[in-house]
Amino acid sequence: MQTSELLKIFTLAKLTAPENVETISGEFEAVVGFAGAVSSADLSGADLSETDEIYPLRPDEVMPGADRDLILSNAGESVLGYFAARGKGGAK
Amino acid sequence: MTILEARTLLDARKISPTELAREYTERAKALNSKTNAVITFTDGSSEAGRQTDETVAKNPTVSSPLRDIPYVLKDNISTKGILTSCASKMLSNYVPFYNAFVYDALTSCGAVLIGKTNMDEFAMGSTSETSCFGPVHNPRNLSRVPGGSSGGSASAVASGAAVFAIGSDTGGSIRQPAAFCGAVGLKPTYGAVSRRGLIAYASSLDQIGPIAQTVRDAGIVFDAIALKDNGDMTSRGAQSVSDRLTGDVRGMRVGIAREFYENLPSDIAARLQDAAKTLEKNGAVLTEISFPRLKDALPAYYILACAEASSNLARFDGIRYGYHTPDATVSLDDFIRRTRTEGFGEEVRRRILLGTYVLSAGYYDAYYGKAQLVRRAVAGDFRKLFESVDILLTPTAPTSPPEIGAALSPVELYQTDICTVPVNIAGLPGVSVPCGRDNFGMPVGAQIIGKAFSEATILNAALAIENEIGSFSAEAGSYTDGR
Repeated sequence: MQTSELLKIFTLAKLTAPENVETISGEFEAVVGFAGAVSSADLSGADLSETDEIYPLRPDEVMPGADRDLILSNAGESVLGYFAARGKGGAK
Repeated sequence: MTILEARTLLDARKISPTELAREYTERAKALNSKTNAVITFTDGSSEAGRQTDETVAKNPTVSSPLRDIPYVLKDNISTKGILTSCASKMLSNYVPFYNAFVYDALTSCGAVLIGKTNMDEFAMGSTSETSCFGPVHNPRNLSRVPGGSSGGSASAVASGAAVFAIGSDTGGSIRQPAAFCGAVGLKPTYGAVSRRGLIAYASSLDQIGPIAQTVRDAGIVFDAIALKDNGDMTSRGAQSVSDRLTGDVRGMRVGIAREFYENLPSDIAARLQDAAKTLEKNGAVLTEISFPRLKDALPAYYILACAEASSNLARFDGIRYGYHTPDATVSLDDFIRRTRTEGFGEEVRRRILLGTYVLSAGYYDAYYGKAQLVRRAVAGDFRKLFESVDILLTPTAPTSPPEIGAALSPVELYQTDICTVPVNIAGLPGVSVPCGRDNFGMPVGAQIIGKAFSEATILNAALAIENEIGSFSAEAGSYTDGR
């Protein structure tokens, strides 16, 4: 896998790539190779019918949500109703 | 002590509920220095204790067999006012404002929560070594892993730190640790137990279930939690099983699928043969069958689980809750990236990357789309098999529990899930029951798989094995021979 492709996946996953991203490309390729074996699975003769036996869903219903302040009780600092994150140089 | 033994003592007033809870809490705390099975202890003065007391006070006639029974919950199950960390730095300070359905269900039965158990971070792993709180140890041999991801729950039950435990199973995370620790682990049919309040790993595969010392105990706990919940749109509940547990397997058709036994170490194969002979001796009919798509189920599982994980874990950005980077950042994107990179451990990051990769443009059809087709094919194969057999008997794990710190590659670890993941892919019930010891003296688990909502059938087969071969008692290192 090319470094540029791996960097793109890190960006999509909202993760920071290590500086030496090449060092993990081999391991990641091995994982992709293992899971990617699914693409060569032979499905001839397979029963591919969908069944609702396993995943039946009840009708979607609007249910009351929780209180906003309760939901945000784990949030960090807030300023004027906005969440605060450290800015460049540590300034709030 | 089993649930039924504790129930007898409580009903005879030979021990008070307070004494029982205190005894188990003290034992769990003492054992924790060896096993590291529990992340957070709760006691009578905690929110959990208060809730239980209030519930029982309001319902003095609560007659559940679980009333006053001490238990532990996996730390990915939400508990109001009690840390629910998923064993991750990302949620190391997260305190839910609501309870999971299963916790409420057990509380309404009067069961007493004494702790939240250690696990693989976000339930991603099969050794319980990826926790940010350090690895869990197997009480049968402290140098070995207890399995995962519900390793803390299984370790707690096997060591006698709790009478029973609740775990979650996405690809074997209840059954495999139960097998490694010498306990009974039941992964219910998808939809039998509500997932509301379970912090999701892979929503279409996750299922909550019990880990207990005996089959009957597992049935009792299943009955308490397998209730329909309108808060989970996949919830259906299930019929109770306890009153149908007899261990009678006469006429039961047992499928032995040869693919599950390929490359199995001889000592584990021998124990599985003992289990099969036990069923046959008790009147079951053994049939050799084939399940050729087993080899496709494992990669399909990792594609599906990681794809769902990359989506489910996208919510962890450090803004509304959980860990956030203390470092200065140049933008919101930078803040989120740093928070996630610092907050998630290596294995979680690896699975998010794999999930992101297989969902990305250019790869979606070849990987995710194909894995969905394999999933349907596996479910179809099971449907066809269950026209000719009632249950499948397989090993729970193809290896003995490895040493803690064994340098296994990610792919080597993933391959150990091969016997359990097909059950999750097809949404079926599976139970692991001890069937003896391997050459290292470690427990071996037999897995029994059944049709959707056939929990009573698979538990009866498990009970027949338990009645004949015996169960591991809760005291580490001891074994009760039923013969």
